[in-house]
Amino acid sequence: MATPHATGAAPAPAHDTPHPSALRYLVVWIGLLALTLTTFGVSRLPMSGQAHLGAAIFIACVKVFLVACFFMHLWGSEGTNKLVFGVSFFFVATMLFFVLADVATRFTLSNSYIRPLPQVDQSILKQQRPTAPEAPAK
Amino acid sequence: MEATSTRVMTAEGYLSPPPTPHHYEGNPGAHKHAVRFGMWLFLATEILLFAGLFCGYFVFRTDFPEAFDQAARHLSLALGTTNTFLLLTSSLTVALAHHNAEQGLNRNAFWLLLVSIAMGGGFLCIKAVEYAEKFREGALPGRFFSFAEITAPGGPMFYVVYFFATGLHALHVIVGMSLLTWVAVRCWRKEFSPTHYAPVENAGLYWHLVDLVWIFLYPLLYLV
Repeated sequence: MATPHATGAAPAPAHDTPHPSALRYLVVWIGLLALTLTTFGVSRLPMSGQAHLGAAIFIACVKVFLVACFFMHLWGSEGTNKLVFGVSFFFVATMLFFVLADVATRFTLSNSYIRPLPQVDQSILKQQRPTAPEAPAK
Repeated sequence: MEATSTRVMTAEGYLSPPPTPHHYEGNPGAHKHAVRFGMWLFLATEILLFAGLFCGYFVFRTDFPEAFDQAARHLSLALGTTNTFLLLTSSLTVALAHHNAEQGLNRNAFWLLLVSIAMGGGFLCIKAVEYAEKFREGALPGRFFSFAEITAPGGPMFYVVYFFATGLHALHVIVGMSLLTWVAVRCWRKEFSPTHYAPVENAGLYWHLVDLVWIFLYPLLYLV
């Protein structure tokens, strides 16, 4: 049963977006392989752990952008689909950001793993805990 | 399959499209949009599912940086990189299968899907080799951990993240392969045409998501 506003509507075209050529997929694939090599190469560079992590995540995001836009046809797709993908990505980033901001800035003892305490001079312990209990001073 | 039985072979060499649901009659564009939108909503829930595991990864990595560093060095970079290559290439063949299916070139799409399924199988075989190695070494989660080469505290936690993340991903590979098999069979029966190719598109979207997750897992587990 057609809805009142759909009855007069012109039939929608069979294809809302023109066919991208097969060559485009090939170019994207080569780009993805090149980025994989890049992420591998960057991981061998002498950098800090944080810089490695940042670089790896950045390259992974570029790869995700390529796959989502061209293999998954988000580029030229309906705006609602872009919204769904964008919002889910944003929520994931928000969750990761706040969780990381928390665990990375905690006071050591409140972390789930307590790092080894510095070595304590054993002689101090002996002074504080004498072998035989002594009578109170008074 | 009732809808399929009423479909006839057209002059162009594919089955006539199944009837559009009655509430979309006269508006096939809206039907296509709804089908695609539904799939994207489902993919959003999948992304958030994996986000939990990534969150766990970052928390434990912050707590046990030395153990994560040592453990990552014990993963086989060659196998991980081969798997990345397999998944990226299978994504290409799935995209090309979709490209062919939407032009009614069902046989081309069938062979491309078959290649993709084979690459998914290759991925799982390599993963099995890696898992077998971990089991032999005792590089396992929780109390099953007995891998002497990781001396820093927190080694078992790396393998909790490793097995859960790659395990859930492998499960998705299996589901994806099943979906691709299902649409490949339908391609063989020449069911798809320029006006009806949503199953190939949606199975493809699922497969690309499997690829997206691996794009993050590969550098986080194997490289950094």
